[in-house]
Amino acid sequence: MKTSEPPRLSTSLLVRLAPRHRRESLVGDLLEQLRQGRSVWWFRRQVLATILVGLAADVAAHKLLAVRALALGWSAMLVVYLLIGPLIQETRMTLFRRWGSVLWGDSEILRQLWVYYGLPFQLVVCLILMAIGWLVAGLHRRRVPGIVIVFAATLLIPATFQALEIRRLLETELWPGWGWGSFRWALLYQAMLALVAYPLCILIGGLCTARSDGDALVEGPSS
Amino acid sequence: MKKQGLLGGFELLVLLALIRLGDDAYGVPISNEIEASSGRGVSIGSIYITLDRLERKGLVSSSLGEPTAARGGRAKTYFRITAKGLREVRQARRTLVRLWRGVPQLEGDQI
Repeated sequence: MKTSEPPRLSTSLLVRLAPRHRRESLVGDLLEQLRQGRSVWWFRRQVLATILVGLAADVAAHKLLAVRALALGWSAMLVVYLLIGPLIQETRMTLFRRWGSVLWGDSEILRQLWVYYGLPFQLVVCLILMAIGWLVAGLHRRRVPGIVIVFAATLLIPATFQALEIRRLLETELWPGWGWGSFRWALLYQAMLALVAYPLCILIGGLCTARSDGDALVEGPSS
Repeated sequence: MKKQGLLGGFELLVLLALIRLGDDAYGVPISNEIEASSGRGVSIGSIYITLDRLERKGLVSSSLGEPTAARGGRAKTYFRITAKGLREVRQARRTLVRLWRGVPQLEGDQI
């Protein structure tokens, strides 16, 4: 009989994201099968399938909660966009005009990071999205993983349109002589932010509340 | 009162596995039983989701067992089919047999 140790990451994900009321039995069943000779890859596949099936069933069983969470999350983003967006933009322009040369000195890289990529401001946006993810999760504590993942996934809808628009822009000849210079990379960077970074920030902010009982299970056997 | 629908294919497999296993029906043997009968791997998560649905319909009951070292100290959840569940399985069997009977394409197939 094999004596495989359960993969820590998979086990950790399982105890955080598996259906709450069956979590202990599910973890026990998978550990039992692993110790009976199933492979670590089998274990990982089972964990992935269990999490996906569980989240889909959870959200399907609580559609109204999911709708409420989406309404809350998107409203929060709209409020932030309307209230804080202009402030960020104004701060950015002020810093650019008054302190630009001081901030990036002679460095072309720093100038581009600021002008094309708005790096410091994107970090602020990421922190705000984490806070919104945390807020949505905090108000739906019993359904955290499913609700947060659905909310993060909805960010992909506008992001996809944005990415398609960026692809269209990149395919046009609007930028004669620009080649693959910084502007094109900046467009790709925008697409990656929308498709990857922003949903990820929501997930990180939301799922950090899904620890508690999970941590206790990860710690190991109680007998 | 909400009208109860027909049993789904996977629900029926799970219920039959419960009947065959009797008092020893928890996640692992249920999964093994279905795999052995169908020849296909099943996700243990799907089994639990199905068992939860069946429990909500009153076709299955569950009880928590003792934690064991082989399971890293985690308890088993045992499942039993209820009288209502048994009636549903019988009904599903009658329906299937009726439908099966007299279908030329299925005649001669070995079960």
